[in-house]
Order: sequence, then C-alpha cells, then structure tokens
Amino acid sequence: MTILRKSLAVLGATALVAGLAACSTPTSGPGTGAGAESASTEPIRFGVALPQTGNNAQYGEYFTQGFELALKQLNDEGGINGRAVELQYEDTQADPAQAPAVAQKFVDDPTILASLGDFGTPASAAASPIYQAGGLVQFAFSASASTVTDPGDFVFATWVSQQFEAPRLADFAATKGSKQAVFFHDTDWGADTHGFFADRSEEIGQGTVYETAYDPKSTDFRPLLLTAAAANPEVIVLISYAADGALITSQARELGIDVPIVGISSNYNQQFIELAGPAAEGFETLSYFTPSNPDPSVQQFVSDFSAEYDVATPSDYAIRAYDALKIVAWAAAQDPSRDGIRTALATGTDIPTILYGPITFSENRRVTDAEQFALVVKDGEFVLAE
Amino acid sequence: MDILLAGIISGSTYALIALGVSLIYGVSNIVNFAHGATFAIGAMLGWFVASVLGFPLWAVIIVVIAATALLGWIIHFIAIKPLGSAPPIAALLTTFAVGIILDNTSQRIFGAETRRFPALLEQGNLELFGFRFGTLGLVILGVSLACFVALALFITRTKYGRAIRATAQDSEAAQQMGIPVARIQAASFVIASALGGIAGVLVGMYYSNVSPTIGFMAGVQGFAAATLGGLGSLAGAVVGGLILGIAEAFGVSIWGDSARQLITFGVLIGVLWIRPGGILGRVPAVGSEPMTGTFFGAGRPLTLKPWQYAVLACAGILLVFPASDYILRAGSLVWIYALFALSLTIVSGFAGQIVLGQAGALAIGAYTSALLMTKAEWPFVPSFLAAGLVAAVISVILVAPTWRLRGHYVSMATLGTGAFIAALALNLPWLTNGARGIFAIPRPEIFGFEIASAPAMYLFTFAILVVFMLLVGRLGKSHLGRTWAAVREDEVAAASSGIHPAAYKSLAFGIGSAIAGFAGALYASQLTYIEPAQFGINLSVLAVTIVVLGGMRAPMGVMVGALVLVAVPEIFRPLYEWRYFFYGALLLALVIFRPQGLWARVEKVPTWLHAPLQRTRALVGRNSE
Amino acid sequence: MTAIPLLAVHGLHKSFGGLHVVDDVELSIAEGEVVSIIGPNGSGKTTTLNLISGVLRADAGSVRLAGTELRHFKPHQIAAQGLTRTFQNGRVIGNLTVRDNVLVGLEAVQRVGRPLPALRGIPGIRWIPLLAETVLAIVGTPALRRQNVLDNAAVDAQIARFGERLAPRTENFSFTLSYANRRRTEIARALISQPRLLVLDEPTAGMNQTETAEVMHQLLDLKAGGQTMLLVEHKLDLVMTVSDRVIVLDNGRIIAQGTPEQVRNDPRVIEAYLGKRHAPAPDAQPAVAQPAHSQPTGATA
Repeated sequence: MTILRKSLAVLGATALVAGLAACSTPTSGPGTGAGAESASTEPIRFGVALPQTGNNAQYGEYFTQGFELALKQLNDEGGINGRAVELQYEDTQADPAQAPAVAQKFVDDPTILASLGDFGTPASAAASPIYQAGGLVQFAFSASASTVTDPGDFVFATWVSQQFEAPRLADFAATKGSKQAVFFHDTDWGADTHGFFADRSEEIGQGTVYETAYDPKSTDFRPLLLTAAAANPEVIVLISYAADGALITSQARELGIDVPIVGISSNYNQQFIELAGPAAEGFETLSYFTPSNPDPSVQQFVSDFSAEYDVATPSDYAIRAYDALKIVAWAAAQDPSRDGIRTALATGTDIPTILYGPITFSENRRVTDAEQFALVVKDGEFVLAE
Repeated sequence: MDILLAGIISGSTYALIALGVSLIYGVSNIVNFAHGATFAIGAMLGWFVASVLGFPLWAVIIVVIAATALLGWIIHFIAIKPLGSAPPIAALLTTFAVGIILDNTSQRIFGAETRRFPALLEQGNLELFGFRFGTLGLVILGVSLACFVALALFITRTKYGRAIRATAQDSEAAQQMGIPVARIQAASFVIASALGGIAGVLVGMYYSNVSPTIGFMAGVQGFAAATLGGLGSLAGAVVGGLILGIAEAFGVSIWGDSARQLITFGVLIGVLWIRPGGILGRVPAVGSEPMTGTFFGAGRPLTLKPWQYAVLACAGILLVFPASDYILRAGSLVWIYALFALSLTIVSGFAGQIVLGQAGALAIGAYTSALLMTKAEWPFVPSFLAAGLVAAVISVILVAPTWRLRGHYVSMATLGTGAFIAALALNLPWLTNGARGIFAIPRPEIFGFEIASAPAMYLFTFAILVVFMLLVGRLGKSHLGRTWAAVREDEVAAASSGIHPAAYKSLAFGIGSAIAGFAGALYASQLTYIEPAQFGINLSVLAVTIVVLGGMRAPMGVMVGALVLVAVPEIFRPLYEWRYFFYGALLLALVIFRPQGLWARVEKVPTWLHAPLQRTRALVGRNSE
Repeated sequence: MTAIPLLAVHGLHKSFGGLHVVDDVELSIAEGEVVSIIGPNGSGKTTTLNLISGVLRADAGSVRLAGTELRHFKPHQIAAQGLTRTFQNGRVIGNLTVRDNVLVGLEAVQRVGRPLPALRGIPGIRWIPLLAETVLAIVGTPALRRQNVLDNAAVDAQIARFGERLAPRTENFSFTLSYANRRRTEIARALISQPRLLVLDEPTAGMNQTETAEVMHQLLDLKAGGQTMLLVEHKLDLVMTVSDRVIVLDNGRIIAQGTPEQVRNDPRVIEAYLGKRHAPAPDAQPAVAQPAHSQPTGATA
C-alpha cells in the first residue's frame, strides 16, 4: 500500500518534470534567428512583453491599443514586404522576476524577430541580459532610466532621456512662478527626472520651497499638499503619471490651493482630464505630442485612432506603443532577420514616428531629443497653450 | 491642524476596513486576506453604479452593501466552510486565493483603468475653530463612527450579537450550547464584507480615484490598524485606524510620502514590541491548556527510499537535455523560490511560527550580494555567503521582540517587519540606490566559470537547493527537530521541560533568514536588476503559500509547492489575462482539498480529533460541576 | 526534615483583574517528602503550581528551590534547576512519538551536543551555543550518537515504569494515545531528567479506578525511591495514601495543613468542601470525619 503510494509519488513527480519538458516549444534549442528569413511567406512575428494582469495592467491596455492599431495598419498595407505581421503577447505583470523567462521564451522562438517592451525600467532591465545574450532586439519603448541600454547593442530605447526633457520642464515652471513645489514619483524614473529637473532649477535660480517623492500608488496626498501649501509656492510641478497626477491636482484644488500646476509629458493623457474632472482646467504640460500638430501623419494617426477606439485623444502610452511597432516594422522591412533589425535600427536615419517626428538612434541606441509643445487643459481637452 | 484632520479622516477609513478584519478575526480566528479585495470590489462597483448607471448616493450604497454582503457569504461558503478543522493557516491561504480571484475578476469586468469616482455629494468647505472641514470628510468620519456604534450595539445588545460573542469566546462550547456556529461565522463575513463595501464607496468618494487593484494595500493597512488596536477588539480597530491615519498624515507631511510604509509598519512593530496584544487587546496570562493538543496540520510528510530521492534528483538534472532554455530559465526561478520557501520549512514547518515577512530577508540578501558585487566588486561566492549572514543578523535583530507574541500576532509583526525592510530599501538611497534600483548585477561566477546560460543557471540553482534541502532535512531529523516540534505544538509544555522557546524560535528564524538571504543572492543574479518594489508582501505570502501547499514538514514540500505555484502561472500563459484568475482558483481548490499539503500523507482528521475532543469536553463538564 | 527545605514558598500572591487567586501562600517541602495540595475547584491549586513552575509570574512572594530564588526565572530555567511538572490536561506533543515526547524531557539536563550551556542565559551571546548546537546536529558527532543510545535506553526505562500500558506504543504518535497514556507519557517526560522536585497536576484526572490505582502504586514506588513530589489531586484516597503532608487551599488561602489524618478531621476543610451547613460545631470534631473522607472521593474527579 505505502510502497505503491510512494512509487506513485515518484512517478508523479517524474511525470511532472517530463510534462514540463514537453511544454517546451517543439523547435527547441537556442534560436539565432538566421534560419527564419529563408521562408519568405512566413509571417513576421514580434514578441510583446507587457503587463496584462496585476497592478500595472492598465498600462498594458494602453499599449495594446497602440499595438493593435499599428498592426492593423501594417497588415492592411500588405504587411512587411508582403509578409503578414503577427504579435505574440506575453504577460509579465511588469514584474522583474517574470520578465527573464518571457525574454528567454522569445529568444528561444526563432520565428520571433524582435521584442517590444516591457512596461517601465525594472521589468525591461531584468530581461535585457537575456535578449542581449540571445541576439534578439529588445525594443524598450517604455523604459526611461539613463542606464537602460547599457546591457548591450541589442537594447534600444525611445524614451528621450530625462536630461533633455526635465530641464525644459524646469524652465517652463519658472515662467509660471518663481517659487515651486515639486512632487515626483518615488521610482527610478521619478528620481532620475527629478535629478535633472533640480539641477536646472538651481542653475536658473528658481526657488524650490517644497519637494517630495511619493509612491505612485498612494491615494491620499492631502498631508503633502497641506505642507506644500504652507510654504506658499507660486507653481506646483508634477513629475507624475496621468492617474496620480490627476489625483494630486484634484486634491490640491479641493484644498483650495489655486496656483498654476504644470506636469511632465506623461501626464498627457485623456485619463488625466477624466480623473481630475473640473480640477484639470488650466493644468499645463509639455508634450512631445499634440493632436493639433499639422503634420499629416499625425493628423492621420489621430483620426485613425479615434475611429478605432472611443477616446478623444490617444494616450502617451498608446502612441509610444504604436510608434514602437512601426519603428521595428520599418527596420524589419530593411532586413527581416534578428541581426538585420538590429543593424537597421542602429544605422537608420530619420525613422518616422508620430510622437517625435523623424528620429535617428544615437550612439547608445536612444532617442536624443525632440521638440515639445506646451499644452493646457481647456474645456476638458488638451490644447496648445498660447 | 488641517493635517490632523486629514489624518483623522483617512484614519477613519482605515478604521472602517479594520472593523471588518477585527470582526472576522474575533469570531472565527481568521485573518481574512480577501477583505481588501472586497473593499476594492465595493469601490469599483460603486463607481460602476454611480458613474455608468448614474444612480444617486443612497442607491449606490444599497447596491454595494447588498453585493458585498453576498460576496462575504460566498467567501465564507467557498473558502472557509469547506476547511472544517484544518489549521488557521489554510484559511489565510484560501482567502488570499479568493483575493486573487476577486481582483482579477474585477479587472476583467470593470477594466484595469483607474476611474474617477463621482462626487455624489455637494462639496462644501466649512470653517470652524481653525479647522477646515470638507463635508465629505465629515460624512466619512460620521459613517465610520456610526458603523462602529451600530456594530457595537448589535453585538452587545441583541440576541444575535450575544451568539457572536459566545462564538468568539469559545466556538466549541458555543456549538455545544446549540449556537449555529457556522451560521454565526458566515454572518460575521457578511457584516464585515458589507462594511468593506461601504468603505470602498466612501474611500472612492474621498480620493475620487478608484482602480481594481487598490484592495491589497488597503487590506494590509486594515490588518495593521486592527492588529495595532488589538485583533478582535472593535474599539481597538477604530483606535488603531485613527492612530495609523494620524501618524501617517504627520509622518508623511514631515518626511514625505516615501516614508508612508516605514511609518505604517514602524508604528505596528513598535506597538507590538511594547504591547504584544495591541493597544486594546489583551494577551491571556496563561493560554488555556490545549484540550485536544494543538495539532498544527495533520499531514505527515511522505518519505521515500534513498534510491527514489536519487531518481528524482536525476530527473531534475536530466531535464536540462530535453528542455528549452525558456523552461530552464523559468525552472531556475522555481528553484530560487523553492530555496526562499525552504526558509519557512524551518521557521513554520518545524518551529510552527507563521512568518509573513520573509521577503524582508530575501531583500536583505539580494541587496547585500548586489551591492557587494557591483560597488565593492566582490566575487560571487563571498557575496553569496555574506548575503545569508547579513540577512540572518538583521532579520533576527528586528524580529527578536516578536517571539513573545503568539499566533496571528507573530504573523502580523513579521509582516510588518518584512514590509519595513522593503520600505527601508526605498528610503536609504545612499546605500541602496533607492527607487532607481541596482542595475547590471553580475551573474554567479564559480572557479572562474560564469554561470549565465539558462542550463547553467538552472543546474546551479538546483544544486544549491538540493544541498540546502539535505541540510534542512538533516536538521529536522536531529534532536533540534524534536525541540522545535515541542515549541511548535505546546510552548508551555516545552518550556516546562527545559526548552527555551524564544531561543529556539529565534534560532529557527535565524537559519531560515540565512537561507532566504542565500536565495536573495541567487535572485539578484538571476534578475540582474533589483528595486525595493520587488520585495513586497505578495512575495512573503508566496513563500508561505509554497511551503503550505507543498507540505511544510519536509524539505521536499518546497520543491513540490514551488513547482506548482511558480510554474503554474507559466503553464497558464495560454489563458492570457485570465491566467491569474485560474491560478487563484487552482490555489483555492488545492488548499481546500489538501490543507495538509501535497507532499503529505492524507490522514483522516475526525478519528483522532473527535474522540479525544468529546472525552475532554465530558471531563471538563464534570470538573466544573 | 533538613535544615534547608528543598522547596520553600513564602508570601505568594497572584491576582487576576483584582481577584486574589493565590493569596499569601506559604509552603515548604523537605527532601524526599510528598506534599499534596487539595481544595475545591477554583481554590487556586493549579495557579499555585503555575506560579511555582514559572508558567505564571507571581505578583509577590518568593519561591526557593534548595535555596535558589526562582521567582524571576522562566519555566525552562526552573526546569534546568531540577523542577519538572505535568499538566492538568496532559500536554503531550501530539505530532511526536511517545519516545520523542519523553526525550524532550531530557532537554533540561542534556549537555552532549549542546555546548557552552553557561552562555545560554545571555541574550545575544546565546547564539554561540545555539549555532554550535546546530552545527553538531548537522554533523552528528560520535559522542552524540553514543548519547542517543543511552538516552533511548533511559526512555525505555521510564516507559517500563508503566508496565505494558505504554511500552507497546513507544513508537506511536502521541495524538493517537488514550487520555491515560498521555498522562503516563507526560509523567515519564517529567521524570527522565531525574528532577529534584516533581510537580504533578492531577495525574489521575480522567482515569478510571483501576488506572488510578496503578498511578497510585507508581507514585508510591517513586516515593520509596526518595523522589520529592508536589501533588495537586482531587481523589482524596490517593492523596491520603501517598502524601506525607496535605495542604488545603480555599479561595487562594491555605485554610489547613498537616498530616493526612489531621487534615481529614479539620472542620474548616469539611466546610470548604461541603459548605457551611455541614460544618460541625467546633466541639464536635470527630463525628464528621467519615463523610468528609468519603464524599469528596466519590463526587469529584
């Protein structure tokens, strides 16, 4: 009886191991991607690592909007050199612990020619060494840290380094008032951005009467705002995302703090207006994107996007995802192989994007800088500020 | 003054959540991890009914109360009732699983986006004695106090309330007196969940933003408030909530928002150090003598013959050949988590202390090794050893005063300590690089070989796991295993036999933390990037889940548990955004059907539990004539 | 009686929330003496034992074992001083075998494999002996193995005390044991460290008459072997047979003490047990001796 049961336990455990092994893709073995280009009718496939569940799932939803629109357009136009485009989504919850396995999964699959994602620096950074070792491009379109492309020449990033954007925000804030209160994310991105921001503020002699880091998941900002208000700032600066930026803005207005509020570009999101409600009126931000940009490709994108989704304006996240797929597809059109995409990205010039206009990757595979527009919320919409 | 007021109002929302936690704890001796999820459902449903359907406030509240009350009944029916006499830890896991299911269901139904909760009330600002009152704040304060008063009256003045109190005091005696204990427990879930739902609506109105994932943190703050005030005490829940709210408001306004968790959990740990039963709770001077023996988990681990273990080990090694790099990469994470959970085989399985803060030790290990390798440029091996040592020393010092505590207080105090350590990592940027995290942590290197490839990493982590499993297994079979068992099952009897319980609990915890620290070093090298947010309470709960589900009395349990719990989310990938829903469902099912763990022989509970129970009952009955 | 009693208790006080449960209890036990505490339910007998054995902290008073003040000692330190005990409801370690249960009792005195006992009392420093113990447990020295053989023999000797009652179940898990066998296991656990003072809290509770008689004989054997004992017991037959002296508690106070014969005839005892109306007039002492003896024996258990 017990011997039988023990043997069953051993058998069961062995079966589990064997089962795990069987789960592996039939075409196992490290894929270099070199073999995939020969079959020219095969679809071109890209992997997408993103949060579909968990705390950051909403950003995964924004990404998916952008990806699906770009994918539809690509395939409607006949794919890449006649080959259909497919995306393989894998959920990582933007969790650095889950990201390496997903990266390895993409690396293992020779039909995948490049990977897009993940959300934020942590999950992207945890996956980078695997992409680098596997020779698969990691297109980290949502990672902002200054070190994000350090792991090697297969890692690309489109987030303009905060060293350009943050000082501009400092200059912009100085035009609104000479004493500022600064709220910034207590994340790698927030700390980086704030660093550059504070340096510039000091340089131009802008007074900072209050500054604080905060957890983006916090909900009660009243104690912070009350302390800030006691220091009598003339302008409040938000280095925030749209959801928490909106929360701070609405709680500030509710407490009767009526100084101008300016925010960094990631606040450019219709969600900001929805969440802050009437309090959003007058909020200003510097954005790379403006729906009123006369560029025909931008206008086309805006109308396509609103035709596809029931949203007034596309979010920053959706635009970044849309651009990411378009850029990688552009590179795949040059040479549909893993190495080819890397080379095309590294050497290509003036690659078209919606967010930044034409871009060229710098020596360290990043977008150096791009023009920004001052936007203001007026009647529930982001419009160009005078 | 305004800050005090903001603290009181946010404190009263904590109090409202804590009331539910405390009520359920008082009646059923269960820490309900699904409570936060119920709160979040209340908030999201409130948003839906108010914003999408456009109902007025009173209708919103009625709908939410009805729905969350029903939810409470369902939680009790599917996650508590089937457990019968399984140990309380099983209820912790089933409610945690229900929490996962609820959060994911809510995300699928309402969408993952953060939503604006409509105001529903005229916003007005009054000014009185230098206080600025928002009407909303007043309403929240009023509703919280009203809920407390109503609940207190219900419990002290009504017949049903008397039954609840009787059940809270001694559920077995209450059962014998003809009180329908199961129904009373269900009622406590219904009431508590409805309170959670109301809290969801109020918090939604107050903060104006809601999202499906706000529950977990709110739940933890509710636990912290309830524990602070004294678990099971309703007045304690209110006092605890207010203290926490006020301490946070002032602390945050002085040190900034990053210090919030530091304050929350610092206050929790500090209070438990001074008052082990919470502010209004009492620790009974002498625990009632266990009538039936506190037979913590009936499961006895399976034992195999040496050759059978050898076969398993070979299977583990030979997996390298058929498996893809993806399987191996996922596999090494499985083994790292297994090693992490092995720390609890000693602390929880052997010594019986349910520790909910092992992510703290993991974090210390990961940071120690990462900092030594990147900043001091130490090689891997000494960094690895230092990781275990530092993790053990810091954890043991922080947790030392906890060993005076009993049962759930140990769990809550260690939960606080673990979260406190993660908060420290965030608040010491000069040392840990704060929120920026540590990049480019080198892979392990041994004797000049860099272990970077997927098969190498897999074999390396597997080998380390097996070595530690052998060591832990040996400890379990030594006289120390016996000593720990005595402490685990009857601390008083163990002490009266000459065993110093605190010393041996501390020893178990120290060894466990060292193992968690070693796991942390491997974790850092596997991920190559760490930041404080990775070491949250979820990770601590995962370790407990692994060890309980696998079977906590034998090292093999962690292998089985980690294979199921870490591999299942990978295997469920074809389910896309539903995978965590099914993960929760599977966890729930496994715990209900195998509360004693997978790596255990099933023993029929009734035969040994019921006979002695009745006999002692009869005896006590006679004695007290 | 020797000059220094083995156990000397002075002015022991304990109150729970204003209720004096133990009120100024004084007692002393000489080497080799067997003393019983009796009294109605709620009279503070078990609390007194808990105070002496360190399970509860006394509010005031002193407890000396062979001259060493125990009042600020913790239970495990008291056990190491040579005072071990059993509990009212048989506190065995359910998930250990009977053998392991009894071996647990050796922890109070075992030194092999548990180095540097002197450092154990010092917070922080105690990690040195603890870690040394862990290392030895993993390594498993020859000395440790030899000691294990001796320890197991000692366990068998203790279990043999109960004849065939417990011996066949030595390797069974103790949660499978009958109530009586749990008590036997507990007594063996308390005895294996060869304590100077054995404290027994109702060792025959829940036993039938045959089993009670067996325990009585075993206690008499122990007494014959010179074992000092402090006993709380309801069954007066057993108390009167085994004890050298009996102390009677009521409402936390000692109301009478003396030889079994003296106590049996003490009117205050009879009053405490049976209530006032049974109490004889002070001048009519001998008349009620018989009912006082038989009634409690039959009615309480």
